[in-house]
Amino acid sequence: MMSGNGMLKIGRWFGWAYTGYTFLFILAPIAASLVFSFNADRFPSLPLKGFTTDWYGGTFTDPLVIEAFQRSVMVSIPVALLSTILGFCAAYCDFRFEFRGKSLFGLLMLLPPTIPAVIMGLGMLSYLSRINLAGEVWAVLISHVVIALPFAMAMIRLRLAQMDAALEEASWNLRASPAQTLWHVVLPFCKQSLVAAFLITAAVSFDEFAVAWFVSGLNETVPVRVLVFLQGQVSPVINAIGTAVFTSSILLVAIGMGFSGMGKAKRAAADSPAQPAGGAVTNNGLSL
Amino acid sequence: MSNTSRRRWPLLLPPLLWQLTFFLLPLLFLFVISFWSVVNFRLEPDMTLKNWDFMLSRSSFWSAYGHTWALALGAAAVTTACSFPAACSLAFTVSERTRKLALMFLVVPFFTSYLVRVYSWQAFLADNGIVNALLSVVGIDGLPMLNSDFGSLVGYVTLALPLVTLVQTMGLAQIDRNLIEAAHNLRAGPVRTLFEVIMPLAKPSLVVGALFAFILAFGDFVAPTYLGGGAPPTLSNLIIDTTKSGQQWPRAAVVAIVMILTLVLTSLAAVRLAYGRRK
Amino acid sequence: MTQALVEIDRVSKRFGDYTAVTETSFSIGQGEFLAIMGSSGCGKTTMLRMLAGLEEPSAGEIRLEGCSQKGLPPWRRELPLVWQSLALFPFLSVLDNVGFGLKMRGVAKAERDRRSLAWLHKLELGEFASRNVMQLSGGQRQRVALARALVTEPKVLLLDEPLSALDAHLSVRMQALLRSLQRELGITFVYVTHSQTEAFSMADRVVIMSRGKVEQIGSPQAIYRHPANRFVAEFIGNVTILRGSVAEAGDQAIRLNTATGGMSVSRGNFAGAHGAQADFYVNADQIAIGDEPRHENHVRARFLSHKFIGNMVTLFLEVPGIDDDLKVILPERTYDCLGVQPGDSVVASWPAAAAHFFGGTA
Repeated sequence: MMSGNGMLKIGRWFGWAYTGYTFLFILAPIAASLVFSFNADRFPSLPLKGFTTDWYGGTFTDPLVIEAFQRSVMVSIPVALLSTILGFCAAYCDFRFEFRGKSLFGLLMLLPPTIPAVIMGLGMLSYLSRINLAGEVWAVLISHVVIALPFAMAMIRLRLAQMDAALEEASWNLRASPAQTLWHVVLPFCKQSLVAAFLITAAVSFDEFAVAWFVSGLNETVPVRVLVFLQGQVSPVINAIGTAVFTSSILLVAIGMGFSGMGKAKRAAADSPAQPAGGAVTNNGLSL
Repeated sequence: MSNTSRRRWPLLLPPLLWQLTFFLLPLLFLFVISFWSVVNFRLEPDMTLKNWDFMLSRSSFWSAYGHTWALALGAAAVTTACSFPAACSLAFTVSERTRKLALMFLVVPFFTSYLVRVYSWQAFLADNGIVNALLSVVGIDGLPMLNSDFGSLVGYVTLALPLVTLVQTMGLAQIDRNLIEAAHNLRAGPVRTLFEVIMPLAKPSLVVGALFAFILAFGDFVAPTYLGGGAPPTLSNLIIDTTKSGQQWPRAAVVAIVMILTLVLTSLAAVRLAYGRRK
Repeated sequence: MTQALVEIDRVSKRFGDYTAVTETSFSIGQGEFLAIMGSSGCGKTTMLRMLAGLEEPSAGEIRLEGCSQKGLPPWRRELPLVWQSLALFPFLSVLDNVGFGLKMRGVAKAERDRRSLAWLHKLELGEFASRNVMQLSGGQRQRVALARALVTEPKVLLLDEPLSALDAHLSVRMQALLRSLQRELGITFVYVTHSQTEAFSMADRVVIMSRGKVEQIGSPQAIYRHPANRFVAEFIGNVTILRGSVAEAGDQAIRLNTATGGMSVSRGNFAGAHGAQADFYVNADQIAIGDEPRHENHVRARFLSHKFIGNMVTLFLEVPGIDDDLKVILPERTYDCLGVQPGDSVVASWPAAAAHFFGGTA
C-alpha cells in the first residue's frame, strides 16, 4: 500500500507532465509553422526536405503582400492611438465618477470582444455601407477601435485601481485644477499601462481578420491576405508570413513588458531604500 | 461634489459616443435590416417577415443550429476537462514565479495569428500529415482527422485552451490554502478534497472558462471551415455564405440575431450557475 | 485667545444617512497649534477634509480670514494638507514633488527649483533632491510631504495623522521638528490625531471630538486636570469617576454621601441642591496609598493589578460598592517603597482638592 505522500508525489509529477503536454499542444502549431517556413517542400509534411528561404523571398516580393503590410501598419497605429485615448477616458470615468447607468456604460465598453467576429463583421458591413464607408480603409480602422478599446480600457483600469485616491486630492490641494491633475498626475501615473495598451491594441488590430475581411473590400490587411491564401491551395507563404508577424508581435510585447518590468525594478529598489538610517520604512507610506 | 457632473462629460462622451455609434448602432441595425428586402442585389428598406420565415422554416438552418450547438458544447466540455489538470498543477504545485512564467507563455498564442495556427494544424491532421506519420511508426494505420468534427474540435481547443487555462489557474490560485489543509486535517484524502472542496470553490472560474470556450467556438468560422471541412455548415459558415454570395444580408442578419440571442441566454444561464446559488 | 484665522460656524456633514459631523463650531487663532483628537469615526478627519475643501459641509460655513469658503473647490483654496498616506507623487523626483504646488501657481522652473531646494535643505533633505521618492525611508518621505505643503508659504497647514505610520522613536523626533517648525514659521497648524501623546505634547489647544461633536476644547493642561464630562474623563483615562448625593454644602467643599461613605469634593461653581445626585472625579495622581488614611477622603481597597508606563505606575484598586476600579498613579520609586503586592488590602486617601465635579471650573 502506497503512502499518501507517495501518491501526492506521483500526482504532482503527473500534473507537471500533463502541463508540459498542454504547452506542447499550444506551442506545436506555432513551432511547426516556423519549421515549415524554412522547409524546401511545398507540402507541409514529414520528413523535411531541406532548408530554404525561398518562401520568405517570394512572400516579401509579392506586391499584394507588401501592400497588405503597409496597410496593416497604417491601420494599426491610428487604431492603437485612438483605442488607448478612448480606453483611458472610459477607464478614468469608471474609476473616478459615480453616475446613473454606470454598469450599462461598462457593459457597452467591454462587450465587443465577446460578440462573434462574423456578426460584428456583418453588422459593420451593413451599417458602414449605409454611410458609404464600407470597403474603405476607414471601415477597418473604425471596427478595430471598437474591438481594441476594451483591451485598452481593462489594462488602464487595472493600473488606476493601484492609485492611492489621495494622490489626486493632493494635487487639487496644491492648486492643480482637475484638468491639470489629469495631465500632471493621473497620466504620468498610468504611463506604463498606456504604453502597454498602445502595443496590445496595435497587436489586436494587426491580427484581426474576420471583421476586416467583411468591411475592407479590396483594401486587404495582412491577416485578410492570409485568409485569401488559406482559401486557395496549400501555400507555404502562410508559414512565412505567420512567422514574420509572430516574431514582430513578440518583439513588440517584449518591449511592452520591458516597460512594465522597468517599473517593477524601480519599485523593488524602493523596497530596500538606499538610506536605512532614516528609520523604519513604512508600508503605509507609498506602497504603490 | 456638485461639480463632478460637469467635469465628467469631456471624458465620458468620447468613448460613449464612439461605442454607441460604431458598436451598438451596427448591432441594432442588423436587427432592422432583418426586416428589409433585397431587390436586384440591392438592400431596400421594408417591413417584411419573409427573411425570418425563409431562414426559420428551413431544416438546413436548424441542422446548422444543432451542429453549432453540439460543437460549441463539445468544445466547452473538452477544453474545460483538458485544462483543469494543468490549471490545478499550476495553481497548487509550483512556485509563484513559475506560475507567472507559465501564464506568460499562455499569453503567447494571443500574438500569433489564429489563421496561421489553423493552417499549421492542417499539416498535423492531414491523412499523410505529421500525426499519422508518427502513428505509423508504432504501427497504426492512417486515421482520418482533417475535415471532420474532430478537426473542428482541435481548432476550437487551440483557440480557447490558453484563455480557459488562464481563467482556471487564476481561480484556483485564489483558493485559501488553509481550506485545503483543513480538509486534509479532517481526514479527506487528495481525491475527496479535490471533489468536495476544490471543485465547489473553483466553480465560478470553471463555469466562466467553459462559457468563454463556448462563446469562442460558437462564433468561430475558421476551424469548422479549414479543419472541419465546412460540411455540415455551422451558423458562422451560414452567415458568410449568405452574405458573400447573393448579397442576402437580411437573411444573414436573421442568423446573426439568433446567434446573439443564444449567446445571451447561455451566458445568463452560465452566470446563474456560477454565482447564483451562493446565497 | 489670539485673533481668529479660521472660523468653523455650525458645520454639519452628512453622508447619506450617516452624520459624520454635527453642528460644530470653533475657531482657530493666528499662529496656533491646534490638535483635533478623537477615536476613529469621530469626525475629525471629515472636519479636516472640509477645511481643505475635499468635502463640502452639508450645513454651516467655514471662513478663512473672514471669507466664506462655501462652494470653493479644493484647487482654489490655500490650505495645504499633509496626508496620512503622504500622497507623494511616485513618478516625480523629490525636488519635483516639492515644487508641484509652485508649478501649479505658474512659478518659473528656476525659481521653483530654488525655493524647493531651500526647503529641502531646511529639512535636511538637500542631498536627496534628485532621488525618486520611492527610494526614501519613511521619515524622509514624511519630511518631503512637509516641504511640499510648506513651500508655498501658507497661513495654515493641515495635517492628517502624519506620524501614525512611524515607529515610536521616529515619531518623537518628528514631533519635536513639527513643534519647532510651527514656532519658527508662526503659521497655524491644524493637526488631526488619535494619539493623546502627540496632541498633548505639541498642541496649544486640543479639540476632543466624539461621534461628530466637540466634547471639549482647551489647553492640554486644562483638559488633563479638568475634563468637561464623563466622555473626556474616560477618554483621557487619568481619573476615576464616582457618584454620590449632596449632603452638606460648604464654602470650599461639598460633602456627598457615596456607596463607600462620605466624601468631600471641591466646590468649584457647583450649584446642586441638597440631596441631588452628582458625578465627580478623583485625579489618579493625587491619591495616596498606605496603611492609614492620610487625607480626609479615604477608602479601604484591595490592590488588584498594576502596569508600568515609563517611570510611573498605575495601580488598580477594587473598592467595595464601586463598579469601576479606583485608579492610582504613583512614581515608580514611591511604589517600590510601599512594598505592596497584588491582593493586599490598602487604604487610599485624597484631599478634597483632588476631587472635582464635571464642568465645575470656570
